[in-house]
Amino acid sequence: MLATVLPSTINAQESTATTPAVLAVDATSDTQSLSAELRRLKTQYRGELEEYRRLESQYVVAKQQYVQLQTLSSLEAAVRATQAAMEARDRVLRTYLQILKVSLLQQTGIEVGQKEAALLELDIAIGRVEKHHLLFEKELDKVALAAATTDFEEIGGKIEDTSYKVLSLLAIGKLQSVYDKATVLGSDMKTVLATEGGALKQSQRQRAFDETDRALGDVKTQLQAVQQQLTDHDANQSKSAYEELKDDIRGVYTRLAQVVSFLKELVTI
Amino acid sequence: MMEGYDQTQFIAEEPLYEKPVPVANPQQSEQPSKPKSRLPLFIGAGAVVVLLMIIALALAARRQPIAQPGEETSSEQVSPAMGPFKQQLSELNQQLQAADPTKEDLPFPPVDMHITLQEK
Repeated sequence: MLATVLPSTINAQESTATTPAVLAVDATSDTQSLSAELRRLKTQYRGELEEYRRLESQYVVAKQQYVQLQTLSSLEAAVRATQAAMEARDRVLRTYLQILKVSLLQQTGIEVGQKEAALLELDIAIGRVEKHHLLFEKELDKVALAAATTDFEEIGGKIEDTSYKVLSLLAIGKLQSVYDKATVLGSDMKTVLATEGGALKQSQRQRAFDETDRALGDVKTQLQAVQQQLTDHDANQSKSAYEELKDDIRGVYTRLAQVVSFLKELVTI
Repeated sequence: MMEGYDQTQFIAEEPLYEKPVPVANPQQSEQPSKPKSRLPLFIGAGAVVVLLMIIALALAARRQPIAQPGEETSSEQVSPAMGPFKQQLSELNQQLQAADPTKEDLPFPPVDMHITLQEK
Protein backbone atom coordinates (compact mmCIF):
# COMPACT_ATOMS: atom_id res chain seq x y z
CA MET A 1 0.00 0.00 0.00
CA LEU A 2 2.85 2.32 0.79
CA ALA A 3 4.20 1.69 -2.66
CA THR A 4 1.46 3.94 -3.98
CA VAL A 5 2.42 6.62 -1.52
CA LEU A 6 6.11 6.52 -2.28
CA PRO A 7 6.96 5.45 -5.79
CA SER A 8 10.30 3.75 -5.68
CA THR A 9 10.88 3.98 -9.39
CA ILE A 10 11.49 7.10 -11.40
CA ASN A 11 8.27 8.27 -12.93
CA ALA A 12 8.68 10.04 -16.23
CA GLN A 13 5.53 12.07 -16.03
CA GLU A 14 5.07 14.97 -13.73
CA SER A 15 2.56 14.11 -11.08
CA THR A 16 -0.26 16.55 -11.58
CA ALA A 17 -3.16 14.34 -10.55
CA THR A 18 -5.80 16.33 -8.74
CA THR A 19 -6.49 13.60 -6.19
CA PRO A 20 -3.29 11.93 -5.09
CA ALA A 21 -3.52 8.32 -4.07
CA VAL A 22 -2.01 9.26 -0.76
CA LEU A 23 -5.25 10.76 0.46
CA ALA A 24 -7.02 7.47 0.14
CA VAL A 25 -4.15 5.81 1.89
CA ASP A 26 -4.19 8.41 4.66
CA ALA A 27 -7.35 7.06 6.19
CA THR A 28 -6.37 3.43 6.06
CA SER A 29 -2.62 3.46 6.63
CA ASP A 30 -1.82 2.47 10.11
CA THR A 31 0.59 4.50 12.15
CA GLN A 32 3.04 1.66 12.53
CA SER A 33 3.45 1.19 8.78
CA LEU A 34 4.09 4.90 8.33
CA SER A 35 6.59 4.92 11.17
CA ALA A 36 8.42 1.97 9.66
CA GLU A 37 8.42 3.64 6.25
CA LEU A 38 9.72 6.85 7.78
CA ARG A 39 12.59 5.01 9.44
CA ARG A 40 13.46 3.29 6.18
CA LEU A 41 13.41 6.55 4.27
CA LYS A 42 15.57 8.30 6.84
CA THR A 43 18.17 5.55 6.65
CA GLN A 44 18.11 5.76 2.86
CA TYR A 45 18.38 9.55 3.05
CA ARG A 46 21.47 9.43 5.26
CA GLY A 47 23.20 7.08 2.81
CA GLU A 48 22.26 9.19 -0.19
CA LEU A 49 23.41 12.38 1.48
CA GLU A 50 26.75 10.82 2.30
CA GLU A 51 27.14 9.71 -1.31
CA TYR A 52 26.16 13.17 -2.51
CA ARG A 53 28.83 14.80 -0.35
CA ARG A 54 31.49 12.52 -1.79
CA LEU A 55 30.40 13.22 -5.38
CA GLU A 56 30.06 16.95 -4.73
CA SER A 57 33.69 17.06 -3.57
CA GLN A 58 34.76 15.28 -6.75
CA TYR A 59 32.71 17.72 -8.83
CA VAL A 60 34.38 20.73 -7.17
CA VAL A 61 37.87 19.33 -7.78
CA ALA A 62 37.13 18.28 -11.37
CA LYS A 63 35.61 21.65 -12.21
CA GLN A 64 38.59 23.47 -10.72
CA GLN A 65 41.00 21.39 -12.78
CA TYR A 66 39.00 21.98 -15.94
CA VAL A 67 38.99 25.74 -15.34
CA GLN A 68 42.75 25.70 -14.85
CA LEU A 69 43.78 23.22 -17.54
CA GLN A 70 41.13 23.73 -20.23
CA THR A 71 41.98 20.38 -21.81
CA LEU A 72 39.61 17.86 -23.37
CA SER A 73 40.36 15.22 -20.77
CA SER A 74 39.80 17.63 -17.90
CA LEU A 75 36.54 18.71 -19.57
CA GLU A 76 35.39 15.10 -19.84
CA ALA A 77 36.23 14.45 -16.18
CA ALA A 78 34.43 17.62 -15.12
CA VAL A 79 31.31 16.76 -17.16
CA ARG A 80 31.18 13.27 -15.66
CA ALA A 81 31.69 14.56 -12.12
CA THR A 82 29.09 17.31 -12.54
CA GLN A 83 26.53 14.88 -13.89
CA ALA A 84 27.19 12.45 -11.02
CA ALA A 85 26.77 15.22 -8.44
CA MET A 86 23.53 16.40 -10.04
CA GLU A 87 22.15 12.86 -10.10
CA ALA A 88 23.06 12.37 -6.44
CA ARG A 89 21.41 15.67 -5.55
CA ASP A 90 18.19 14.56 -7.25
CA ARG A 91 18.18 11.34 -5.23
CA VAL A 92 18.70 13.23 -1.98
CA LEU A 93 15.93 15.71 -2.78
CA ARG A 94 13.49 13.03 -3.86
CA THR A 95 13.98 11.03 -0.69
CA TYR A 96 13.75 14.17 1.43
CA LEU A 97 10.43 15.11 -0.18
CA GLN A 98 9.17 11.58 0.46
CA ILE A 99 10.17 11.91 4.11
CA LEU A 100 8.20 15.14 4.29
CA LYS A 101 5.23 13.41 2.72
CA VAL A 102 5.15 10.56 5.24
CA SER A 103 5.73 13.01 8.09
CA LEU A 104 2.81 15.10 6.87
CA LEU A 105 0.58 12.02 6.62
CA GLN A 106 1.45 11.11 10.19
CA GLN A 107 1.05 14.59 11.63
CA THR A 108 -2.18 15.46 13.38
CA GLY A 109 -3.36 18.99 14.11
CA ILE A 110 -3.29 20.15 10.49
CA GLU A 111 -6.46 21.30 8.81
CA VAL A 112 -7.58 18.72 6.23
CA GLY A 113 -7.72 21.17 3.34
CA GLN A 114 -4.22 22.46 4.03
CA LYS A 115 -2.90 18.94 4.39
CA GLU A 116 -4.41 17.80 1.10
CA ALA A 117 -3.04 20.84 -0.72
CA ALA A 118 0.42 20.33 0.76
CA LEU A 119 0.42 16.63 -0.14
CA LEU A 120 -0.52 17.51 -3.68
CA GLU A 121 2.30 20.05 -3.85
CA LEU A 122 4.72 17.44 -2.54
CA ASP A 123 3.57 14.99 -5.22
CA ILE A 124 4.19 17.61 -7.87
CA ALA A 125 7.62 18.42 -6.42
CA ILE A 126 8.58 14.74 -6.34
CA GLY A 127 7.39 14.41 -9.93
CA ARG A 128 9.55 17.35 -10.97
CA VAL A 129 12.64 15.86 -9.38
CA GLU A 130 11.98 12.50 -10.99
CA LYS A 131 11.47 14.09 -14.38
CA HIS A 132 14.72 16.00 -14.02
CA HIS A 133 16.46 12.82 -12.95
CA LEU A 134 15.47 11.17 -16.22
CA LEU A 135 17.80 13.53 -18.06
CA PHE A 136 20.71 11.58 -16.63
CA GLU A 137 19.73 8.21 -18.05
CA LYS A 138 22.51 8.62 -20.58
CA GLU A 139 25.89 10.29 -20.39
CA LEU A 140 25.55 13.98 -21.21
CA ASP A 141 27.91 16.27 -23.01
CA LYS A 142 28.74 19.80 -21.97
CA VAL A 143 25.79 21.37 -23.84
CA ALA A 144 23.24 18.86 -22.56
CA LEU A 145 24.57 19.31 -19.06
CA ALA A 146 24.08 23.06 -19.33
CA ALA A 147 20.46 22.40 -20.37
CA ALA A 148 20.00 20.12 -17.34
CA THR A 149 21.40 22.88 -15.13
CA THR A 150 18.90 25.36 -16.53
CA ASP A 151 16.08 22.87 -16.07
CA PHE A 152 16.98 22.40 -12.42
CA GLU A 153 17.19 26.14 -11.82
CA GLU A 154 13.51 26.30 -12.77
CA ILE A 155 12.41 23.60 -10.36
CA GLY A 156 14.91 24.09 -7.53
CA GLY A 157 13.18 27.16 -6.11
CA LYS A 158 9.79 25.46 -6.24
CA ILE A 159 11.15 22.42 -4.41
CA GLU A 160 12.53 24.66 -1.68
CA ASP A 161 9.27 26.60 -1.39
CA THR A 162 7.23 23.42 -1.09
CA SER A 163 9.62 21.98 1.47
CA TYR A 164 9.58 25.05 3.71
CA LYS A 165 5.82 25.27 3.46
CA VAL A 166 5.48 21.66 4.60
CA LEU A 167 8.00 22.25 7.39
CA SER A 168 5.88 25.19 8.56
CA LEU A 169 2.73 23.07 8.47
CA LEU A 170 4.44 20.31 10.43
CA ALA A 171 5.64 22.75 13.08
CA ILE A 172 2.20 24.31 13.46
CA GLY A 173 0.51 20.90 13.41
CA LYS A 174 2.66 19.65 16.27
CA LEU A 175 1.76 22.65 18.42
CA GLN A 176 -1.92 22.54 17.44
CA SER A 177 -2.01 18.88 18.39
CA VAL A 178 -0.54 19.59 21.84
CA TYR A 179 -2.96 22.50 22.27
CA ASP A 180 -5.97 20.30 21.38
CA LYS A 181 -4.94 17.60 23.84
CA ALA A 182 -4.19 20.12 26.58
CA THR A 183 -7.63 21.70 26.13
CA VAL A 184 -9.43 18.35 26.40
CA LEU A 185 -7.30 17.24 29.33
CA GLY A 186 -7.84 20.51 31.19
CA SER A 187 -11.58 20.24 30.67
CA ASP A 188 -11.65 16.63 31.91
CA MET A 189 -9.62 17.54 34.96
CA LYS A 190 -11.98 20.39 35.76
CA THR A 191 -14.99 18.08 35.58
CA VAL A 192 -13.44 15.46 37.83
CA LEU A 193 -12.31 17.97 40.40
CA ALA A 194 -15.56 19.95 40.52
CA THR A 195 -16.71 18.17 43.68
CA GLU A 196 -13.36 17.09 45.10
CA GLY A 197 -12.00 18.47 48.38
CA GLY A 198 -13.24 21.23 50.64
CA ALA A 199 -14.41 24.69 49.73
CA LEU A 200 -10.98 26.22 50.30
CA LYS A 201 -9.27 23.75 48.00
CA GLN A 202 -11.99 24.10 45.39
CA SER A 203 -11.57 27.84 45.27
CA GLN A 204 -7.78 27.44 44.95
CA ARG A 205 -8.29 24.98 42.11
CA GLN A 206 -10.77 27.28 40.42
CA ARG A 207 -8.23 30.09 40.39
CA ALA A 208 -5.61 27.69 38.97
CA PHE A 209 -8.00 26.51 36.25
CA ASP A 210 -8.87 30.11 35.40
CA GLU A 211 -5.19 30.92 34.92
CA THR A 212 -4.71 27.79 32.80
CA ASP A 213 -7.72 28.75 30.65
CA ARG A 214 -6.24 32.21 30.15
CA ALA A 215 -2.96 30.67 28.99
CA LEU A 216 -4.85 28.32 26.66
CA GLY A 217 -6.73 31.32 25.25
CA ASP A 218 -3.42 33.04 24.52
CA VAL A 219 -2.11 29.95 22.74
CA LYS A 220 -5.26 29.77 20.63
CA THR A 221 -4.88 33.39 19.56
CA GLN A 222 -1.19 32.93 18.80
CA LEU A 223 -1.87 29.79 16.77
CA GLN A 224 -4.51 31.61 14.72
CA ALA A 225 -2.05 34.41 14.04
CA VAL A 226 0.62 31.94 12.91
CA GLN A 227 -1.89 30.16 10.68
CA GLN A 228 -2.84 33.47 9.12
CA GLN A 229 0.81 34.29 8.56
CA LEU A 230 1.28 30.97 6.77
CA THR A 231 -1.76 31.60 4.58
CA ASP A 232 -0.50 35.07 3.68
CA HIS A 233 2.81 33.58 2.53
CA ASP A 234 1.08 30.73 0.76
CA ALA A 235 1.69 31.92 -2.75
CA ASN A 236 5.44 32.18 -2.35
CA GLN A 237 6.60 30.37 0.73
CA SER A 238 10.31 30.95 0.94
CA LYS A 239 13.01 30.15 3.41
CA SER A 240 12.96 33.66 4.86
CA ALA A 241 9.20 33.46 5.42
CA TYR A 242 9.68 30.15 7.17
CA GLU A 243 12.37 31.60 9.41
CA GLU A 244 10.05 34.49 10.22
CA LEU A 245 7.26 32.07 11.03
CA LYS A 246 9.55 30.05 13.25
CA ASP A 247 10.10 33.03 15.52
CA ASP A 248 6.36 33.25 16.14
CA ILE A 249 6.12 29.50 16.56
CA ARG A 250 8.71 29.72 19.35
CA GLY A 251 6.41 32.17 21.14
CA VAL A 252 3.48 29.76 20.86
CA TYR A 253 5.63 26.94 22.14
CA THR A 254 6.73 28.90 25.20
CA ARG A 255 3.14 29.71 26.20
CA LEU A 256 2.03 26.14 25.48
CA ALA A 257 4.83 24.81 27.67
CA GLN A 258 3.46 26.98 30.45
CA VAL A 259 -0.01 25.47 29.97
CA VAL A 260 1.39 21.95 30.28
CA SER A 261 3.31 23.02 33.36
CA PHE A 262 0.11 24.42 34.90
CA LEU A 263 -1.75 21.19 34.21
CA LYS A 264 1.02 19.17 35.84
CA GLU A 265 0.83 21.43 38.85
CA LEU A 266 -2.95 21.16 39.02
CA VAL A 267 -2.67 17.42 39.58
CA THR A 268 -0.98 18.08 42.90
CA ILE A 269 -3.47 20.65 44.24
CA MET B 1 102.64 50.02 98.05
CA MET B 2 99.24 51.31 96.91
CA GLU B 3 100.61 52.75 93.67
CA GLY B 4 98.47 52.37 90.55
CA TYR B 5 95.26 51.89 92.52
CA ASP B 6 92.53 54.52 92.02
CA GLN B 7 90.95 55.11 95.33
CA THR B 8 88.27 57.47 93.98
CA GLN B 9 86.59 54.68 91.97
CA PHE B 10 83.53 53.06 93.47
CA ILE B 11 82.97 49.45 93.41
CA ALA B 12 79.64 49.99 91.69
CA GLU B 13 81.40 51.59 88.74
CA GLU B 14 83.08 48.38 87.92
CA PRO B 15 82.56 47.73 84.15
CA LEU B 16 79.75 45.38 83.53
CA TYR B 17 81.38 43.56 80.63
CA GLU B 18 83.82 42.18 83.02
CA LYS B 19 81.09 40.20 84.68
CA PRO B 20 81.13 36.56 83.63
CA VAL B 21 78.57 35.78 80.93
CA PRO B 22 76.23 33.11 82.17
CA VAL B 23 76.61 29.95 80.08
CA ALA B 24 73.58 27.78 79.46
CA ASN B 25 73.81 24.60 81.27
CA PRO B 26 72.99 21.66 79.01
CA GLN B 27 71.47 19.83 81.96
CA GLN B 28 69.06 22.70 82.54
CA SER B 29 67.68 22.56 78.93
CA GLU B 30 66.64 18.97 79.44
CA GLN B 31 64.40 20.00 82.24
CA PRO B 32 60.62 20.01 81.35
CA SER B 33 59.63 23.33 79.79
CA LYS B 34 56.59 25.36 80.67
CA PRO B 35 53.25 23.89 79.44
CA LYS B 36 52.57 25.04 75.78
CA SER B 37 49.51 27.06 74.76
CA ARG B 38 46.47 24.95 73.82
CA LEU B 39 45.34 27.34 71.08
CA PRO B 40 46.64 25.28 68.10
CA LEU B 41 44.84 22.24 69.50
CA PHE B 42 41.56 24.12 69.64
CA ILE B 43 42.07 25.43 66.08
CA GLY B 44 42.76 21.91 64.78
CA ALA B 45 39.72 20.48 66.54
CA GLY B 46 37.57 23.29 65.17
CA ALA B 47 38.80 22.64 61.63
CA VAL B 48 37.96 18.94 61.93
CA VAL B 49 34.45 19.74 63.16
CA VAL B 50 33.86 22.20 60.29
CA LEU B 51 35.15 19.63 57.80
CA LEU B 52 32.82 16.98 59.17
CA MET B 53 29.88 19.36 58.95
CA ILE B 54 30.69 20.16 55.31
CA ILE B 55 30.88 16.46 54.47
CA ALA B 56 27.58 15.79 56.25
CA LEU B 57 25.87 18.63 54.39
CA ALA B 58 27.26 17.44 51.06
CA LEU B 59 25.96 13.92 51.68
CA ALA B 60 22.55 15.22 52.70
CA ALA B 61 22.34 17.37 49.56
CA ARG B 62 23.26 14.39 47.44
CA ARG B 63 20.46 12.31 48.89
CA GLN B 64 17.84 15.02 48.39
CA PRO B 65 18.40 16.73 45.02
CA ILE B 66 16.81 20.14 44.64
CA ALA B 67 13.66 19.89 42.60
CA GLN B 68 13.66 21.96 39.43
CA PRO B 69 10.59 23.97 38.52
CA GLY B 70 8.16 21.80 36.60
CA GLU B 71 10.01 18.65 37.53
CA GLU B 72 8.04 15.95 39.24
CA THR B 73 9.46 14.62 42.45
CA SER B 74 8.67 11.44 44.23
CA SER B 75 7.49 13.36 47.24
CA GLU B 76 4.90 15.20 45.12
CA GLN B 77 1.47 14.37 46.38
CA VAL B 78 -0.99 13.61 43.63
CA SER B 79 -4.65 14.09 44.36
CA PRO B 80 -6.33 10.65 44.26
CA ALA B 81 -8.91 11.87 41.78
CA MET B 82 -6.13 13.12 39.49
CA GLY B 83 -4.28 9.80 39.37
CA PRO B 84 -5.73 8.72 36.00
CA PHE B 85 -4.54 11.97 34.40
CA LYS B 86 -0.88 11.42 35.23
CA GLN B 87 -0.32 9.13 32.25
CA GLN B 88 -2.03 11.54 29.88
CA LEU B 89 0.04 14.41 31.24
CA SER B 90 3.20 12.41 30.71
CA GLU B 91 2.23 11.76 27.08
CA LEU B 92 1.32 15.41 26.61
CA ASN B 93 4.69 16.44 27.95
CA GLN B 94 6.45 14.07 25.52
CA GLN B 95 4.43 15.48 22.66
CA LEU B 96 5.34 18.98 23.75
CA GLN B 97 9.04 18.10 23.73
CA ALA B 98 8.66 16.75 20.20
CA ALA B 99 7.03 20.02 19.14
CA ASP B 100 9.97 22.13 20.30
CA PRO B 101 10.69 24.36 17.27
CA THR B 102 14.35 24.65 18.20
CA LYS B 103 14.78 20.93 17.50
CA GLU B 104 14.67 20.85 13.73
CA ASP B 105 14.64 17.18 12.83
CA LEU B 106 13.94 17.60 9.12
CA PRO B 107 16.14 20.45 7.87
CA PHE B 108 16.30 21.07 4.13
CA PRO B 109 19.11 18.97 2.61
CA PRO B 110 22.49 20.69 2.64
CA VAL B 111 22.96 20.35 -1.11
CA ASP B 112 24.28 22.78 -3.67
CA MET B 113 21.23 23.96 -5.61
CA HIS B 114 23.44 25.62 -8.22
CA ILE B 115 25.68 22.86 -9.50
CA THR B 116 26.96 23.89 -12.89
CA LEU B 117 29.94 23.36 -15.11
CA GLN B 118 29.80 26.93 -16.28
CA GLU B 119 32.01 29.39 -14.45
CA LYS B 120 29.98 31.51 -12.08
